[in-house]
Amino acid sequence: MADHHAVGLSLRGLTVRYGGVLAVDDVRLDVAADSITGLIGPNGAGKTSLFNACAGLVRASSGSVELFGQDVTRTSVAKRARLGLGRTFQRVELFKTLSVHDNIAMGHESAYVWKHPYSLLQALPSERRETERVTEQVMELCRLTDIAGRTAGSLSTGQQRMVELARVLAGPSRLLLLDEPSSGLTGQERAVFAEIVEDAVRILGLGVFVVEHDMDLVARICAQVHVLNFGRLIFSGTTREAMASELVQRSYLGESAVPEASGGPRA
Amino acid sequence: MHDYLPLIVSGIADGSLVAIAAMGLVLSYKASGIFNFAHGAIGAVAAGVFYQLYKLNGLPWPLALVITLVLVGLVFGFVMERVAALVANASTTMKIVSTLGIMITLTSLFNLRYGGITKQFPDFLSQRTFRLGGVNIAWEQVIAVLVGLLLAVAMTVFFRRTILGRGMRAIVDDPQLVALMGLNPTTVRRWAWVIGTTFAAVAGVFIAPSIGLDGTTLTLLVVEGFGAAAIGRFSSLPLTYLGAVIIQVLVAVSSKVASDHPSLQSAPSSIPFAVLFLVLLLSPKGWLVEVGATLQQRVVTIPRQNRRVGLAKLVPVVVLVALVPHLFETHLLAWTKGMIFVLLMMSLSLLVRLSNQISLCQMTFAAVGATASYHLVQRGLPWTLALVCAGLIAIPIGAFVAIPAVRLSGVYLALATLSFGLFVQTALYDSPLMFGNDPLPLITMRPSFAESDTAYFYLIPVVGAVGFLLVRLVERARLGQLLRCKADSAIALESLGVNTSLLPLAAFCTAAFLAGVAGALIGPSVGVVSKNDFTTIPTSLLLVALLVLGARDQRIGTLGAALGGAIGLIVIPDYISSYDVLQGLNLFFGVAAVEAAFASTRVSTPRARRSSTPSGTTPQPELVTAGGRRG
Repeated sequence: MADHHAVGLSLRGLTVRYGGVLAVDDVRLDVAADSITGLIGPNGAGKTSLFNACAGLVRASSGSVELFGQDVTRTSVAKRARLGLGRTFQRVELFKTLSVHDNIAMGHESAYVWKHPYSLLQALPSERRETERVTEQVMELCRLTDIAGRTAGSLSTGQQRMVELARVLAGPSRLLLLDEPSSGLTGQERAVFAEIVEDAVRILGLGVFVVEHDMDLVARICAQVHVLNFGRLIFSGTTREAMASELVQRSYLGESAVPEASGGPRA
Repeated sequence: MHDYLPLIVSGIADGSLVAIAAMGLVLSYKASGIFNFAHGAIGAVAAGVFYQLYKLNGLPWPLALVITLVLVGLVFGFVMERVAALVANASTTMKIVSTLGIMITLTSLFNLRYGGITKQFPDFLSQRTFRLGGVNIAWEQVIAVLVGLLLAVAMTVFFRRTILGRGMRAIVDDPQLVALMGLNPTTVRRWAWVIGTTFAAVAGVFIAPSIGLDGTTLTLLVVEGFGAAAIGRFSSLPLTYLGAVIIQVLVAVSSKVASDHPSLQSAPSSIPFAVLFLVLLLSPKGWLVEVGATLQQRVVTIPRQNRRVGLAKLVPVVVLVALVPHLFETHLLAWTKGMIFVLLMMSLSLLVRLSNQISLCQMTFAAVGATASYHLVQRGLPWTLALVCAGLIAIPIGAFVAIPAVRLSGVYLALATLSFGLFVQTALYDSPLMFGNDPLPLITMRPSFAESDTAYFYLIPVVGAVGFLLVRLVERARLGQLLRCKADSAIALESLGVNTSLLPLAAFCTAAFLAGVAGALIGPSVGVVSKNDFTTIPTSLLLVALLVLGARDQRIGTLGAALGGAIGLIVIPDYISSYDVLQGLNLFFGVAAVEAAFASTRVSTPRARRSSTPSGTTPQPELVTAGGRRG
């Protein structure tokens, strides 16, 4: 992983079919293990399907998914997570009845489950200390310390997205899949979110693969982007190149669109 | 072969009637997302109304039939639509409890009017027979099949061809779209309920002549339709019809086989429940999709146990328990049994309140424990050891029930547990390993160190305390936290790397152990134990309803809810000698359970605000309840 261009996730000929519908069509791409990579494309382009195939929620019809060099195409969701793949959801999936603190703690504690015969009963003292330490740290990083005691279900969307990010950061994940993390967030919240993701990547040395509609956000945080259209990968390159590419402009941003100063194409 | 022909004919006729009920169930379930456990009770009520009009008031039967169907269909159609709208945003558990509550309410109303004794139901259809291919066929049977087929075909055409029918198919997925078709979603749902309950009524009236006017049996017969509905994946009407006919033919034919083998006597009546359980157990992943499940949210929050209090709160409970033998000497046995039911309630609480899994077969676990300890003590095992063994023996049973729980949740898990409970009750309670064929109850023994009533009473809280600590341990252990997490979002927990499939197993095993121990304690409290103490309907269902009632106020903890529920279920009825007042009490429980289900949507945590929802996300719950008037 010392290699500057270490690959975290690599898809080879990935195809996802739902019945007769081809959602992801023969996609080959790499996601760096130490920087932020974007995945963009119009609605229905297959972004979430591709994510779900990476995470193991849908089975690839053909092709393969490799995580840190290991083939995980047939591996379960939980196993992939244990191998270092974390994710957030397009529609926030929190433990709504638990506090913010407990949500984040579970992100860390999950790694201990089934570790020893005793693991379903009690946390070992060392585990408890470690969980507490990591939780505090992550809450600070994500600026959640003030609302640590609140019930997750009672938070605003912006806060919930942040808790979801914090929960996955507290875990052992080395590569994060973020599915539309900025939807439902205010402009201000987006800026904070971007800052925190960048901090996390820098401090924890993570790779991030993000589906995002807000082109400003993409331009700001992503080193590389992949563009999907109708399930096919139509562009891979640096963000600057993508913004300049006529093909990308046409298929995604619309005929006459030029990247705007604020808001995404759907704002 | 020829011997079996008449049985096949009568199986087809019975199957057609059960099919009518099952199709009505599927229809209302598809359109509302609410699985109506009260469906059978509505059929029983219809039979009661018909009995009133035809037998008691002397109306001609066609007129009585029409009035019954219109009355029952319209009244319950409207009522059920309202109930469904009010619980639309409630958790699956509360949705189930709401219709269970209606079932309890209707059954007690029925019993209040027609007593607990089965009355002869008049044969209103022609009893004349004709011969075909060497088999005597009654016109009654022909009519049953014709009515069933006619309704099945009519409904299939209705769903495919008419706007209202298409609206019913679409409404659960997207009420807004139905509104765009120019149909009022509430009206569509209401008509679905009207048709569904009318079908229940038809089935109830037509089935009643063969079994008499008995609320419980009528209700159970419609529950047999659940198995048919499962064969139709709770969605296809023709398959449901076919399923019902096949099941009833199997029942009829096997009753002939069983009549030659006394040991198999109870096997036929258990077939429908076995079919339901097996379909749920063996259905491949994704085969059964819960209608409206995407819209469900877990509104009921489990109260966080405040870790600092605990012991202080226990003091009044301990004092009360210590005083019981002095205060309530004449009803001590009921109090003893009540205390045992606290343990039973706590075991259920582990499933229902902690992990949001519903179990409608808690009495089955208890029955296993009761009979296991009886047989072990008979074979000379020390009493205390037998008690522990009773719990241990119940564990594999719990694990078995947990197999469907690994994949199924919500209403299908409820059905799986219900069918398991009914199956064990009908097929295995009579086996020599359990209660045996003898109608006499089993004589149970108390331990030598607690022979007297008072001593035995004090033994219960001691065992109960151990059980309470076990429940507390699970609640506070990592397992408890994981179960809460899984109830909130299984997918999130999976994505954190936790294999969640074995978690329900742990919960069910613990619950079964506790219920087994509780069951073993029940017999010695009064000295005898019989299978009537462990019925699935109504006792297991009442347990769930009363637990939810006991926990209506969210600040009430596990022990409080269990205590309240057990006193309501066991102790109070012991003070009531009048049959009517007893039914009135059940009526109250039923209504209160429905009310608790409604209330659960009011005391929810504030719903997460979703501003500027991007396109492509699922519709907000607010839109879904367009029919309901609650925001």
